[in-house]
Amino acid sequence: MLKTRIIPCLDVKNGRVVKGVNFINLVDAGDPVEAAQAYDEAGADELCFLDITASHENRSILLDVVKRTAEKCFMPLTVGGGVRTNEDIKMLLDSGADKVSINTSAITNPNFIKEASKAFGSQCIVVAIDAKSNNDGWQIYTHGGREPTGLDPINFAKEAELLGAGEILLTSMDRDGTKKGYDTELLNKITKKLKIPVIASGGVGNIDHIIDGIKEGGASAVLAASIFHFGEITIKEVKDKLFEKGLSVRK
Amino acid sequence: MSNVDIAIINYECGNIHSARKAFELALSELNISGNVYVTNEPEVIFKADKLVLPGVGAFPECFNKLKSIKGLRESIAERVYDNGIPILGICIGLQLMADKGYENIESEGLGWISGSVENLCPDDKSLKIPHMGWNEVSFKKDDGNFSDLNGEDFYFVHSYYFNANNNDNILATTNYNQPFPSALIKNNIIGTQFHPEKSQRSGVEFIKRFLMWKP
Repeated sequence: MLKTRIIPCLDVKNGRVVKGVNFINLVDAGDPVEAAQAYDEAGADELCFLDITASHENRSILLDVVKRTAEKCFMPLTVGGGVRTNEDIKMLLDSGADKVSINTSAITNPNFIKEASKAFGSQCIVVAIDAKSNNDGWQIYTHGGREPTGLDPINFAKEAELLGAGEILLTSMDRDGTKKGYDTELLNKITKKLKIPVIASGGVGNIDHIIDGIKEGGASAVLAASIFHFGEITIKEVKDKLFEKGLSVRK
Repeated sequence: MSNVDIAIINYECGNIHSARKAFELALSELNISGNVYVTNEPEVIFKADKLVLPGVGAFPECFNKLKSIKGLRESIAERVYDNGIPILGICIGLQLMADKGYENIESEGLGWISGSVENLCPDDKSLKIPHMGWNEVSFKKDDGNFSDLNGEDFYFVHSYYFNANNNDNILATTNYNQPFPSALIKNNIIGTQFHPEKSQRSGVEFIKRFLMWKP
């Protein structure tokens, strides 16, 4: 049986983990490679790096981090942040990323999803959607949540699937950082409509939220950052609880 | 075994960085000396003791790329068929060994293991395609080498599967609503639908068994 994936996400800026990873005795908590290795040992099913480096010139630092991580961790690695062209994708894949997450560029230019999936295969193209609720539904925001687009995330997710996305990473901006749980209503609407897997993101505060994301939201994978980084919950605790609730997880 | 040289065949179909690293780790854990080459050169393939045909992407494009590199397909076939060198196909690398593929268009394959590559079509329509993530691999028979990994989880990402014509070639199956062949074997040829190079400990253990394998 296919297992629900538990994915820790590390925000990386200029080659350093921001917000820190405090849960284990890391020599250097800011080193993404060391944090990745710790998550590898802790039983994470995949890993996600989100590059929040402001300038594009510092790309080589990220590529080096990806390369060094791929040398140590034999699990799927998704890298996102500032991916604008097929050349950006190629450099990340050549450095050892398995999947590349595209956010703003996919939304402002949906044809990029098609070009990218044609060039590299759907399996490595993740479309990241940041959504926020409004009066009568939800709206997609781009540029790190600053720019409203007027686009409906449910319809756009379907369009991304048809254009060749292999997976959707859905982040609820209303919930991100609140620890109130995933937006399971939006998740459910999207997972019901799509054939491709959806990763839930934004708002996890406890293990019950993860269970809700899977059971109510229909997520194929769950992504979380701070609860893992600060050691509030370990990956093993999550998996034990999920297993107890009858959900399939990799032991 | 004193020295084992491994050639990972690079035909521009996907990331092989992790495959190289995983094979290097497996060699070192087995205390075997050897080199891991990422190559498309027939000379290197002729020197290697084990071959790996990796790959991600779409079947027709990957097969065209493999064919387009001068002398590559012929040198692999000579090593595998005339010299009996073990080869491991991974994901598309396994699928290319079929007679035919039906991804996007009908296209020919290497024809090494009888069967065709068809789309995964689970009866339960709520199941997601691609089949992406960790799933159990059940070995069909005790082969005294790979089969002690029975029941381990490996990492998959695919929308098509190898529909084998001969049950004898099915080494292992995996369940996604219905069982599909997840590892195939024929003489010195073995292939996995899953990615051992992405499957953490169980993956490295699988690669070690491939390196120790004496078909």
